[in-house]
Formats: sequence, structure tokens, C-alpha cells
Amino acid sequence: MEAPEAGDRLELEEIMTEAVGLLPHNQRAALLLRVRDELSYQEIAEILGVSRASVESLLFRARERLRHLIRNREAR
Amino acid sequence: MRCVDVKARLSAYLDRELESALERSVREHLDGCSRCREELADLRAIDAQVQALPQVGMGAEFAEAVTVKVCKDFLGRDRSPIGRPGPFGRLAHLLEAVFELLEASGSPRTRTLDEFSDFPPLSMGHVYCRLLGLCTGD
Repeated sequence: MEAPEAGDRLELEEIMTEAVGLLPHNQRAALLLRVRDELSYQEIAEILGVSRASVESLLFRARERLRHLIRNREAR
Repeated sequence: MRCVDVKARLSAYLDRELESALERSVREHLDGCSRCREELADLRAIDAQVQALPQVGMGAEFAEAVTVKVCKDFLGRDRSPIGRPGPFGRLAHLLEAVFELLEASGSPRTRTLDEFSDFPPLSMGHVYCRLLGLCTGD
């Protein structure tokens, strides 16, 4: 995944917005609480009412899914 | 560690949430594996892109889940998440519970409203964390 050129940033932002929007809501919530709010797995687990291991799994699946969505989009 | 095991742990490694022995094993593997390093770089790039997004909502389902949890944990009663139809109805339902809780916390209304305005516009989760802070005297 290469660093985007300035002209591609807007398109990348659109792709990422769409990709995040396509995540299941629990994966999206875990990702945003971690990446944007910088909460720990334990804090996220308490908020979402799941185990810490589930948070790890949600974040792993969210990031994998975003990676595949973006790679597929780039391959078109 | 094998690549397949490392890849399954890269997300938690990135978040520095692995226990120290496992984190060391992953780091040692990364030192000698360019493919796994590349995958880690992908995850870092994704995080940077998510952080750079202007605003992404968490969806109505999450707002509903927070509403129910606030009512149950802090107001001590059950409340149906589907009180009013549509996204604004759900939001009204959530805000109603939040303001009820702020009043119940005993803080002056002006102070709690100031705190409320400091929340990033993005997340319901942040609202919920602040509520936890209010209730524990944080």
C-alpha cells in the first residue's frame, strides 16, 4: 500500500469512508474507539459489553476487511 | 512463530495490547520477515487513513445499544431502545437518557453542558466514557 499522491487523497478518503461504512457496526465501533479515541482494549470491551478477546478479534477483522476492500478497489 | 500466527496478532501488536512475551516473539519474527513487516505497514497506513477521516458515525444500532446500557447501568431501569422511529427519534432517545443522567449526577447544569461540548463530534463511545467518568468522580 503506497503513500497517496496529493491528488489521490480525496479519492482515498472517499474509498476509506465507504469501506469503514461497510464494516459491521460492532467492528466499526471498536475500530473508531481504538483508532480515533485511542481507548484501550479493556475500555472498549466495557463500552461494547464484550470480552477483551472479542475486542481483539473485532479489531483484527475490521482491519483485515479494510485492507481487502482497499486492495480490491486499487486492483480495479 | 510462523507467518500465519504472526499475522493473526499484528493488529494487537500494533495496538501494543499483546502480553510482553508474545510481543517479543512477534517483534523477533518481524525483524526477519519482510512480508509480515509489509503487512504491519499496511495496518499502520489504514489506521492513519481512518484517523484522517473527517467524521464517521457509529450507526443507529450502536446509539441504541448505548442508550439501553446507560438506562440499565446508571439509571437503574430497562428502557426499550425503539422508543421512536427513525434516526432522529433514536438520537432523541439517547440524549434524553444522557441529560437525565447528567441531572442525576448532581453537577450544575452549566458545568455538565460545558463538559458535553468538549466531546469529539465523532463518537457515542466517548460520551459513554465521560458518563463513566462522571459517575466515578473522575
